[in-house]
Amino acid sequence: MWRRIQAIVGKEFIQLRRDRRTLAMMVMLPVLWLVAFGYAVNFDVETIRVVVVDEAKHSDSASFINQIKEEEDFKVTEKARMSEAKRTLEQGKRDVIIHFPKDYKQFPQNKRERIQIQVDGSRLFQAQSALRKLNGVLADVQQDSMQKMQRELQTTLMKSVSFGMGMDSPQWREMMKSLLPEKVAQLQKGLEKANKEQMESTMKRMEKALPKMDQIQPDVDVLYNPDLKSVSFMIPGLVGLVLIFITTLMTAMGVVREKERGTLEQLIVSPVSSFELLVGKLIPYCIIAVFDFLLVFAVGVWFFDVPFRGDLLPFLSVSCLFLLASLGIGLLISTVSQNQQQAMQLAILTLVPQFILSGFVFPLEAMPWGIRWLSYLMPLTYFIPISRGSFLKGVSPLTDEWGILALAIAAVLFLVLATIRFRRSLG
Amino acid sequence: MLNVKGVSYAYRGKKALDQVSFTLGEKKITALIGPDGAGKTTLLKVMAGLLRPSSGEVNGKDGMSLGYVSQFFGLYGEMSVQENLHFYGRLNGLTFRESTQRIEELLHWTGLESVIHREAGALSGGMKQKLSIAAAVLHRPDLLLLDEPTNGVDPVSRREMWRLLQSVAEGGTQIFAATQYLDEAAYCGRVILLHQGRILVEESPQQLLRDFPFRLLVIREAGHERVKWMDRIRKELTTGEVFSKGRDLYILHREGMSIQGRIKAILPSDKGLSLEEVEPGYEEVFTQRFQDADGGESR
Repeated sequence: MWRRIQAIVGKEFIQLRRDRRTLAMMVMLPVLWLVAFGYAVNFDVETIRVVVVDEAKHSDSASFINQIKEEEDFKVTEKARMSEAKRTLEQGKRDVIIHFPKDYKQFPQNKRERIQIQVDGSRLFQAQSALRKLNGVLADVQQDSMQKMQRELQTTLMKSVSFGMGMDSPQWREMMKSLLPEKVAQLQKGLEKANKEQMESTMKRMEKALPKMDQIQPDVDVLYNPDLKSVSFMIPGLVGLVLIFITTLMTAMGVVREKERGTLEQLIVSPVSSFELLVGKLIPYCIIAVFDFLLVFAVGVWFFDVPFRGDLLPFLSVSCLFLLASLGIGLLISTVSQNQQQAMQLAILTLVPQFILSGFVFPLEAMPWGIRWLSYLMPLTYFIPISRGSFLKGVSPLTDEWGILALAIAAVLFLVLATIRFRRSLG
Repeated sequence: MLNVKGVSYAYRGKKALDQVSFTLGEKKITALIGPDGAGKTTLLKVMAGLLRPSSGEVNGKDGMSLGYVSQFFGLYGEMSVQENLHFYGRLNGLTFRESTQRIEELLHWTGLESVIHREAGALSGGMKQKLSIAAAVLHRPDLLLLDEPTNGVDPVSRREMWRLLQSVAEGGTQIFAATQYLDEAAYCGRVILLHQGRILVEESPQQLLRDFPFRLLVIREAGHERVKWMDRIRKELTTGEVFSKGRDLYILHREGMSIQGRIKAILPSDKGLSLEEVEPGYEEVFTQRFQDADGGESR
């Protein structure tokens, strides 16, 4: 049995060596994707191009504008009129308009006194980044103005200490006249002192009651991927994507190519069993897929600095389960297809939805249930959370029993279906 | 050795094989002869186990080994001659040493030694066929099935190929070959004529020749006017056939000797045309059989 399997494995490798294009595809695909997903696919837009229209033209708006200008991520230009600013947005030269209306106030009372911000939503990721960054800046500015307001409140209160006690009322003056001047002075001093003490305690209470502006923000810690780097999000998913692409495409081609060229007949006539043939065909693809997997893994960890915090061995075993499931899918495609073209189309038909629906890029939670159930039919959907958990969180994959169970079921189901189909197609 | 019993095969409602029964036994080489669409390939595939018959069965002796050469080149074009042979050797359970030794033998035998490292896909048609046969007999199978092995091969190579097959048969392998070339029956101990999925005749070719009731006359270099005479000659025949092959005109008949005089009367005397009697060949024999089966319409 091993002799026959060996013969098939050897033959596959000879064919692969001669078929430079396929070989190149299988080595280049992961490299290409690494470059694409490591560098190009980045949802964080670093620089937001802002156009400012200042119609208020007073110190408040000016200081606000200065504050924006100081932000590294904003590239600010100014325009005199809204119409001009709008045009830059239309032409795609700017992403955001910040408009200070004529009646702008630092502490607005109504709509006309508020800042107006317009964001170009046609550029989705710029818009999202812009909103995020603007919110940060606005929060800073707000904090500053609140602090300023507090300080102003305090000084105004202190100034008014001598007033408000009714010491300049006519009755008070009448009463003072009837007293000795030195007594008056004494009384006044005493009163002022008492007044001041009371005031100070009020101030203290007020200070306690008013929020400390530098403490008002909650402590936010982003765990596992503190810088929210896209590449750290992508590489753990990419490991799975490469596995499923390579194995599905290659195995899909593998059997149908023999069918199309008539070589399958020779194999069937020979004493080789369908099991031996399957194993012999799958081993080379497994080896290549594992190679690609390790390549992406290594480049991700050492080149892109994506942390791998989990245990390697359990992760690799779960990956093997996932690998078997993908091999099964490829094999199934190969056995139901009549020719390579059909197999290719079917492979693409199963791979593209996995790319979109598996949570590799877009979160499952954002999908309506009408579509999301499809996601749960795909092995990649179960592998990606396990992979991200292992890479970023350092969670053992073995804690995700349901994910592992789903992968195991997929592996067994697809391989068994493929074997049955394969046997039947052999006649 | 192999028993085909009541085999029928239907594909999409159309019967490709209809109650085919025969046994492969003592005769070493059997030819399966039939026109296109007779079901030859289907029968071979059923015998090779590539198709499951709709009814009936194929029984071989226990542990019987099989070699199969399909109609189209079924080896790996991107692999060299040697790599292909090694692969099939190993696949059929030969050890590396056995396989190496056998390959050397076969390459010498087929004359493919000079192209041992050439990619199989780059070989000529005849060489490809020889390689296919070599790959199919590497493991000295009990039965070798060939589907039109000489299709598209030049006449010299065809003869060579049949000599190879005869030597394979001498080595103890049963050979069952489908062919369109009727004259190839001469190499075989037995022929099976297949027509519309049914066996017409199963006989030794020599016996078929002996049983042939017709005689054959030929007018050499009949020229372009022969078309005019064909109808008039045909009217003189109660049964039989008038047909042209190349520039010659052939008359297949069961008449008495007087027919020669009657034909000569039709031919113009000034052209120096002669009428001669020739021995009917396999072509005439089989063609006649198939036409009879078709209901006797003329070609």
